[in-house]
Amino acid sequence: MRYFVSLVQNEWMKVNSKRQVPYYYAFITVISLLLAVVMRFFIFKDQPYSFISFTSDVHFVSSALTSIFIMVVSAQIITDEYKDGTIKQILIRPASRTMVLMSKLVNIFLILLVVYMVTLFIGLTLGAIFFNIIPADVKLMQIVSDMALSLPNVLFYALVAFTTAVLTHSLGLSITIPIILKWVLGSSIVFLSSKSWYKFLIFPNLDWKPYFTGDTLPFKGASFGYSITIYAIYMIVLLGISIVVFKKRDVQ
Amino acid sequence: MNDVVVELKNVTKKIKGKTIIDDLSFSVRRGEVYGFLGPNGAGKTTTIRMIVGLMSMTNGDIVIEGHNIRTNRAKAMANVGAIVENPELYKFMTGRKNLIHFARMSGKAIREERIQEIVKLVDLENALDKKVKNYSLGMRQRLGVAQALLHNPSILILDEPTNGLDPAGIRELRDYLRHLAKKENISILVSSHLLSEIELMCDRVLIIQNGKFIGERAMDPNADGAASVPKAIHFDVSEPDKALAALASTTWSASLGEGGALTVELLREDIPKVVEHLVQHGVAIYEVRTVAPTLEDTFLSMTKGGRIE
Repeated sequence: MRYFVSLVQNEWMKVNSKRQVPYYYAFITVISLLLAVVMRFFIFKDQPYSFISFTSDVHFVSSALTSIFIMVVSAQIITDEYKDGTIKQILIRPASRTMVLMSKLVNIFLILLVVYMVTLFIGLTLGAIFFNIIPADVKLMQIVSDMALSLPNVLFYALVAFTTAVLTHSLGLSITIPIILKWVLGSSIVFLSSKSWYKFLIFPNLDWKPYFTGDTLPFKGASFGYSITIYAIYMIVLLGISIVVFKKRDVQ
Repeated sequence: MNDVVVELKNVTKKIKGKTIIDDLSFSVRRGEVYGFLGPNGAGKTTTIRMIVGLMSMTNGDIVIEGHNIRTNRAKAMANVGAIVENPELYKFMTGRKNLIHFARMSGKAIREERIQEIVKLVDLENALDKKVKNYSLGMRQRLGVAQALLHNPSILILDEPTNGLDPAGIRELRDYLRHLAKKENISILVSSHLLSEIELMCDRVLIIQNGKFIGERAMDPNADGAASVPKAIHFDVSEPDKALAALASTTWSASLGEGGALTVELLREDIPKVVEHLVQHGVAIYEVRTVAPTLEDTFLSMTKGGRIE
């Protein structure tokens, strides 16, 4: 277990040395700052506006970007090792190949959590500077639970990017495939909701919010337990493919 | 402590029905520099990749420090330090972070002092906090050696280590490797297609061709068994014809080579007797030396000119 933790530490060190993560924090800050300026000086010029509401807006604007960012990180964490040849350096150590993959996946999850925390921090800080510290319709806990409920969606497409990277070693493919799945297939598949096999697809089972808010269910007879089961099956199959292929393949 | 550090037993590798490595067996002893020689495409790199676990074996076993890599890979690999082709490093990190990275992966507790010690050894103290992308090739090679030795491995595996090094760098590396083997008792398995390199560096040499074992040879002429085999001894004498005549009455078989060089097939213990015999017959001797077949001769005769059939 200690060895696994040190592998995760390594992944963390590599990702943060590559600058992409710090750059993303800077990027979120700049976007939020622009948003704050526009809202303060143009939209809510003379009205009070809650800093909590602003945080919610920041989350709304950044969530799609974060989703793409995590896909890129998930793909690069594999493809960069092949591109630089460092994959050989990792695989000639005592760590098993499964352990190497798992340490990278845990690292992706940690990055996502930190990005969400940074987003909240930037939202609240800029909100407190530009807007009014007053209560809002939306509560801070709602934003946090909204982030938590987006995890299954973000992590699924991250795993798609990761698996594609293991299979193809191609950064381009590993980013395009999950993006097409998410925004082309994922958003148009709803037209097939009348089909009997619709409920077996991953797409209607990615959004677990209706089970907590009482919104319209994604399909007839949908339940939280059913969605979790379908989600788990898809995740385990993707993970299984990654591990089997990664273990079996000779490294040239 | 076992005397054999790495052992390959009947290792075979097939890729898409084609046999790349065919029933290869050899072993590397503790503290020796073991050369792995063969023409390009003979299967050197494939064999090394199987030893370090980058490629799977079709058949056979590889045992490192008593641990079979099929069943106990983690323990086997904890004893291995390797540079496969170029030393691949994380260019976007500093030398120090690279070493920390590989120290964490070693599975052993490596202290800060050990990192300091190894950095001093490879002379990178001043560059340690620079990013590796700013290193020269020689510095990267040295950092590569540092990461391979960080965890005190008992076997160091180097695949074509002199590729891309200048003559001074090659010499430095060679001296350093011999030092490691003798002083630190580390075994070194080094592959190369450069005969002269192997000849200068190694204690024993394995020659393979088309994935098959061709021969194994000790490089030290005084190695065990050498004294009991007759060798060609070269005598540089004043009057070769007179010397030949003097030896004609004895049991030693002498011959005159081109340029009048006198060559006698002799056991080591008989050399002084021949010298005495010649002196008694009034022949002046300027030089006596063993004509060892060079590795090149052996290599070419064993691999039939180094062609890949």
